[in-house]
Amino acid sequence: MVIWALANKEMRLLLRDRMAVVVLLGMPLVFILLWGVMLGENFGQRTADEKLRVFVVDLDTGESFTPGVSWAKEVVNDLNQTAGVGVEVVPSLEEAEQRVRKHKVAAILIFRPGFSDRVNQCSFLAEGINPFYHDGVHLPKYGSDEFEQARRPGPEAVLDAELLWDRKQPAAAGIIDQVAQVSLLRVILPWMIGQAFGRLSDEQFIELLGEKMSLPLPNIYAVRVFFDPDHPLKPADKVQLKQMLDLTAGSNEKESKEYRKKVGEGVQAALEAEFHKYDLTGKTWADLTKSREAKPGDKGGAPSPENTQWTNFGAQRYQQLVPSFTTMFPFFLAMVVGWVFVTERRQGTLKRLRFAPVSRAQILAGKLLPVFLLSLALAGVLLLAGRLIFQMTWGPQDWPLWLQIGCLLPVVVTTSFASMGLALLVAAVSRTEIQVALYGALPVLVMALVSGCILPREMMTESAQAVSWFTPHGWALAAYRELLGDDPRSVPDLSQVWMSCGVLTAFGAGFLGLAWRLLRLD
Amino acid sequence: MAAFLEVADLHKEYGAVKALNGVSFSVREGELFGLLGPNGAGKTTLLSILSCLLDPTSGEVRLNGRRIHGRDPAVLRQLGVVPQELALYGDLTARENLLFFGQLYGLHGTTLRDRVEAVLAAVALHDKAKDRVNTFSGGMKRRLNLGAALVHSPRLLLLDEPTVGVDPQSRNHIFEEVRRLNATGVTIIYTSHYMEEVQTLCPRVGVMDHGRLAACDEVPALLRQLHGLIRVRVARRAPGLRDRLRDLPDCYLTDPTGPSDGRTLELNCRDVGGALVRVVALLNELNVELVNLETEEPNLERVFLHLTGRELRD
Repeated sequence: MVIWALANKEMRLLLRDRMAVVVLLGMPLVFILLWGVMLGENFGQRTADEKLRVFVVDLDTGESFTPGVSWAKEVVNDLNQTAGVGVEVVPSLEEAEQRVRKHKVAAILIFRPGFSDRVNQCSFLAEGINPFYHDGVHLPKYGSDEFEQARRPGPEAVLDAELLWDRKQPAAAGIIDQVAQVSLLRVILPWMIGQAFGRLSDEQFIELLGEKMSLPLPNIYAVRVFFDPDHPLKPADKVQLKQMLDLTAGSNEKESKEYRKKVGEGVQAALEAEFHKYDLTGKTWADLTKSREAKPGDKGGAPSPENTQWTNFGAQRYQQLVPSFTTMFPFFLAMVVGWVFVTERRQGTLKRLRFAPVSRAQILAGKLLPVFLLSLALAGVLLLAGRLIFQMTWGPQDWPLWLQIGCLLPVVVTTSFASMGLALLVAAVSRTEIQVALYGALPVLVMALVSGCILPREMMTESAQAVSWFTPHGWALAAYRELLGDDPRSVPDLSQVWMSCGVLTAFGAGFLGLAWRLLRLD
Repeated sequence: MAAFLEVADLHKEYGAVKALNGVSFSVREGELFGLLGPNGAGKTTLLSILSCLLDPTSGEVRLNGRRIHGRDPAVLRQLGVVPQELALYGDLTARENLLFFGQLYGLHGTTLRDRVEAVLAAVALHDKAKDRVNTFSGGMKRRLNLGAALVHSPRLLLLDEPTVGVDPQSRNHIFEEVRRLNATGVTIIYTSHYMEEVQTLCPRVGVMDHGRLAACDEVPALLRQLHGLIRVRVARRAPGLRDRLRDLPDCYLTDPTGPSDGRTLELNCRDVGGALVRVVALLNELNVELVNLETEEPNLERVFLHLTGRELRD
């Protein structure tokens, strides 16, 4: 009765400021919408059609194996065919520099005039250019000493291409760097393999093979040598492959060449038979891997094609944003609870409550109950909006709705419980509104950040990801991620969900216990 | 009559500071008891112990024979406390405030509603019942502050400076309500540093200073400890006047406050009325022209000054 009276009073006070309630419930929705629109599908640099933009300056004047087409064009074509990537050509180096200087673009791939010539020189042969290094294709940074040095001809020469990048946007530039490297690898490596394979029938290579390959003199031939004292070979000698071919051809030079050619073709044929899933003579990635068509159902991270509006409701991003904000915002209610206590202290009503036959536990329960309900309502509104507006799913599609709700409910309740514990802790240590704002907002923001509510956990370092498990947010997110999602092949790991609920309850109980010790009502 | 509230040798220490130092007094049921004292005298500490907010370091308090120890709900239900600071929810209406505080004491339903309406009428806020407290004047808030302590019909009402910052009209309302409550049998402890209020309202008063109860008695008995004062200013210095005044029965001369030109004389008398007749007769007899004549009856302020050696409003 007393708890209900206290809760009812708190609820009246909270609901009396209707605008504040609307803002409280509506703000996370606005955040989700803004976040989704601003960051796009993979928190990257995207155009309106949701593709990662790769800017390119093409100064290449050379030619690839395709007449009239430069190697730079081959790379651009490959990028354009990459799912989720779109190429924009910047007309000049000056304009590229300007765009990066003004931070309009994170990185621009520059193909210098000699790019095709350098790619044509790329080879596994000793005299060829080796464009690779530990992480992929060596793509120096624009204007670096390393680049100027590497561009000079010689065995250390690298590709005549570079990445112009904005030092203020290293993360976005890094993504473009990786995408460009993969494309370069896909274009250059097959070319080099094809070139190398073609060399197998090359006269020069057969000659080399003939010299390097030595076998014992066959017995039949050894007898002939034994009885021919003028023969240059002795019966105990080893014979080179080219000597065998010469011996077989006798003095017929034409036949000797023919035999050599057949050795090359034989080696090629044997390799082709052995590696029949690949076309080792193909000069493109598609030819090499015999994979001209993308595998069915492989969207490669591409956006939902059916919806290209700027909000793109139904996109994958909302499967991440809605649970993130559903986790994060209930913890902001810590400030509401803190302010309730500060206000009560200031207006003397907290002392007046102590005059009444009401226990400390009843006072706290009465104060927390409405905020707990508000927290549940907030999570409910967000999940409902996630389903109705952002078209996210509440669980596997083959689950009935009651099961989806039944699994989500414990996560929502335990998250709200943990947030209430934190709220009381903030109230316990705060004496003024400023302290509430500091002690409330700061830990909540820090925990939201390290837990992956603001940035996806996958984008963090491993150590930061480990830290996220020390926050209630991290566990709540883990549970939501298990349950929410539109991948029909994904089956939620319910043990992870229940463990998260348990840890969230422990967090709530721990916070409440600490708050109980620290809170002073007088 | 047996004591309703009994305070025995109460001590309260905060570290080295002795907030209460052996306070003992008792209050009869239905009595209106005044507690006087300057800031820091220990009144608030005493009220905090009486209202179960604090435990004493030693000594004990009994309410209706039951020892107050910790937060005893049975004791708390008998108490109504009006704190010195306003303690109301500004965003709730007057009625909502009273309903809430009534619920805290277990009232509900018709009983609660009837009590709330009765209290609203008693503190003259019936027509403002639906208004938010934030819109009230200081006096209206004070009255509601009193009302919030009355909803559950307490047997002992503790009033801590209930008229601070109150306009005369609201002050009169509060006085009337205090008298009315006392007339219905509610025991009241009225704390204030306004002596006139205490002297007007309370038949019996305790005077506190430095954590001790300097005096505790009926107001007339306290006043009897002091003499009245007759201050005379004459046109010229008259030979023999001082000696004749000094010879008046139950009177004695003191050094006058104000100009020391020998024309102002201060006479302390147990019976101011009787002495005044004699003084006027003496001046006529000596043919001394009277310029000014003032009399001062004993009051609690002077009692306090007499008892503690300092002004009450220090």
